[in-house]
Amino acid sequence: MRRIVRKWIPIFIAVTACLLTLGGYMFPQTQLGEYRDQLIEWAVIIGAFAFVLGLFNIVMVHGKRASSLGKGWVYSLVLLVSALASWVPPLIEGPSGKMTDKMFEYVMAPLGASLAALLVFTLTLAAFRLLRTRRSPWSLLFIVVVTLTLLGSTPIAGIEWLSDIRSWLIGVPGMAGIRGLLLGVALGTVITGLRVLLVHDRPYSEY
Amino acid sequence: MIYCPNCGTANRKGSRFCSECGKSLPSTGTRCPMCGTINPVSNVYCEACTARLSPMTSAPEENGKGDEDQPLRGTPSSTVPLDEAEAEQTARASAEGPGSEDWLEALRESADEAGEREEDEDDGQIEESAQPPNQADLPDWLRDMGPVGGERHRSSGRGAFWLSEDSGEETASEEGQAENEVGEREDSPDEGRRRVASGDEGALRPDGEAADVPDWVADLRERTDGASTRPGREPSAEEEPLKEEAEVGHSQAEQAQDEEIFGERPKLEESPRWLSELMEEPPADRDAPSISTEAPPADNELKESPRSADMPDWMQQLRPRGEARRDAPRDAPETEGLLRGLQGLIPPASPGIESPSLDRASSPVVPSEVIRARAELLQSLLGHSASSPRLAVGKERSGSAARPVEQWLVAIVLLVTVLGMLLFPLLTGETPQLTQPGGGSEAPQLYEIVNALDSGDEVLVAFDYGPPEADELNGVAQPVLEHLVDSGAGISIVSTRPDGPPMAAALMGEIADSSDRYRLLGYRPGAGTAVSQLLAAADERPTLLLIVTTRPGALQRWVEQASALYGDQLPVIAVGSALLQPITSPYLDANAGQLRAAVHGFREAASYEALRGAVGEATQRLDALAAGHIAIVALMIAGAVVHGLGGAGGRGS
Repeated sequence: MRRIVRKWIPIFIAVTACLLTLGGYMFPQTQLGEYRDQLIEWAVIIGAFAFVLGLFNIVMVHGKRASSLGKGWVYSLVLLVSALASWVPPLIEGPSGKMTDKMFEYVMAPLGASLAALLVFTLTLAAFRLLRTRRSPWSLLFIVVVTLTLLGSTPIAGIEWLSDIRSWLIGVPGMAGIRGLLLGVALGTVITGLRVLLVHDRPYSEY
Repeated sequence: MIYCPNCGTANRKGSRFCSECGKSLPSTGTRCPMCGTINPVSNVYCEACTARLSPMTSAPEENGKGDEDQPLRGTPSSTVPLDEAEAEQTARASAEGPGSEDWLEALRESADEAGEREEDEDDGQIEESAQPPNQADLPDWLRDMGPVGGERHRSSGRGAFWLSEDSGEETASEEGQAENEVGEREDSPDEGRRRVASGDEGALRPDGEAADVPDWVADLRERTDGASTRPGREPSAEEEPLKEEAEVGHSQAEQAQDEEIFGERPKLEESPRWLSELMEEPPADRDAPSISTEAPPADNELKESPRSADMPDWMQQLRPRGEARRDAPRDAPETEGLLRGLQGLIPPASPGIESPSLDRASSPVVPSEVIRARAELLQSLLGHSASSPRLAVGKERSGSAARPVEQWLVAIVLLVTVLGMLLFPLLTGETPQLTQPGGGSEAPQLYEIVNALDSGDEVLVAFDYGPPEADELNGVAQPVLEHLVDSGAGISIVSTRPDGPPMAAALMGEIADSSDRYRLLGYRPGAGTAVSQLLAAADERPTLLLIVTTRPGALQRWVEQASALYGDQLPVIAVGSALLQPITSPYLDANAGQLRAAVHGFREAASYEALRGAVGEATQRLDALAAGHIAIVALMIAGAVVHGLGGAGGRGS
């Protein structure tokens, strides 16, 4: 009985949901389309509830550390205060209130932009040291391609012809590589879906 | 699954650390000390490398004896026979001594009396069984078979015809000889037991009359004894000593048995062939070092083998092989306690285990040429190791000193370039014209699609970017969103990121003069599922789908779900960062048709602004962006020249 409850009932639910959703995409004008939409709605609700669980988990873990004055308790305290500060205004004013907008505009956006700027500096330094780390023909090719792409991405007066080279680099070898990646991802997705559908993989169960 | 004792997280079987809190997980098996493989607890040997998982522990120490005196588990105890007469005498003497428990003494006496009674009863039973049974007591089927039991043996001439025909005179003469032998040995009952221990078939006969021997035993004896007891057959030269020995009296036979057990120089011609070869050929590796626990046998010990002619083949196979067993210490009688005076209750300790493989392991290792070359190389490296670390440390110090210089150089060049382009108009009042926007982009196609919208059309805008990407994407999306607002079409904004709606609200607040020009539908969790739900839950199919994102995954989800639900009926356009351009290129292909047009980065956004005849944020930043690109390319080339021309370095060199 325990085996039925823990193994076969989850398998039945998962396979049924998979088949209904798949059938809803194949025959969207039938009743299967409505079942598909209903199942997706349930998945959205469950996904939203996962965020609530994540919030409680963070509060419990860092609250325990801050209360016990464990290692890094100051950071845990800052995290709890920040979470509380960003949680309360949307509850009062809604998700598009003034406090929320100002928080995004004056706190999160500058911090995010600063991190992105640091990424530019890090990548530039890595390119500067490239040949010291790895001296090979492929490193020289990488430098040439990056040079053409960067200079071609901005219409600098006098070297507009570099834009055509950049377009060719992105449109031919770049697209070939990206398509290869997309095809690989698509095949992997299909195989993963089939394995779940054929009960070869059971990510929803421990048995 | 292994559940973490700290946080309770279910971890994959075989995990060593918790995937949630990182604490060590309890192992559910036995870890191999050699390769680290987790084996089931019941395993004795490792499944991966066959190493032994549980040590060969010795028996628990008793009476203060060390491990070397204790037999190892699983090894048979010594097979050295006990001198029963001596043991019995010692036991009786100890039992009669002072301090003996009364009940134990009484128990011994009662046991002795019971043993004597049992012997008498056995004799009586043998005599009774020798009496002919009453014919009336026999069943019909047994009576028809003729005389049975001792009656036939008492008079073999009246035996059954089927038995008489087979045995004939040989059986009669053999039984007569057996009676003589039994009669000789009735005087010493202990001799029979000794002969059993030494393998003499004669000892297998019961101490009774020869007529008591069943016919099947007699038949078996006839076959095994063979020609040695068969009259009329001349013994061979090898059998002659045996014949002579069979005629020796009781004292000599007993002495021979003692010599077999406790050793005497045997005759060479009486030894088996394998032992004769050992005796004739001295051991070749006598001088080789051995780590065997057994002492090397001496010449005299090799010659002290029992005479195999007195033992049948099956008894020879059971004979103790090791010479050490012969020399194994006898167990001494117990000196205290309730078992004082008794001997033979605890098996004597085995001096060790014979391990012939250890003799092979003691052979000297002959290194191969490869091993010898490696050893010489290691020796040479160790000899020159004094100077090498200094050079390595000096090189490392010079490298570590150059790193901050390079970091400051890159940082200063980037800052001066970008800040110079931004501050130049403020200082000089003129805008540097490094770029000429326009051309070479998808901006015209996207402009045409947006320009074709009417006020009654509904545009679904997906805001899938957050604050880190807002600095670039706000400037890229602004001209397109302004064009949408100016077209009068209805705008519905959704997002699959929790920080998407605030970013959309902030940007649309700058673009639109009123919040009535757009609808903010909020955030939907669930990634691809949310995209499908958002597209399917729309009241009416949107006229256009605009994707604003910087992440390839989000772009793929929206394009693929829209194509799956609506196909070509819903045109899809995208606005993204310059990083997204290689990702969107497959969808922009004319054959695919999944993405009608896209604008990437400040360059194409500046082209879009140029098409609309406005100078926006993208056009203003384009010159600073170009200067930054030039600075990055210059730094990269400078680094390549410096590190490429100077010194050796890198794994590829």
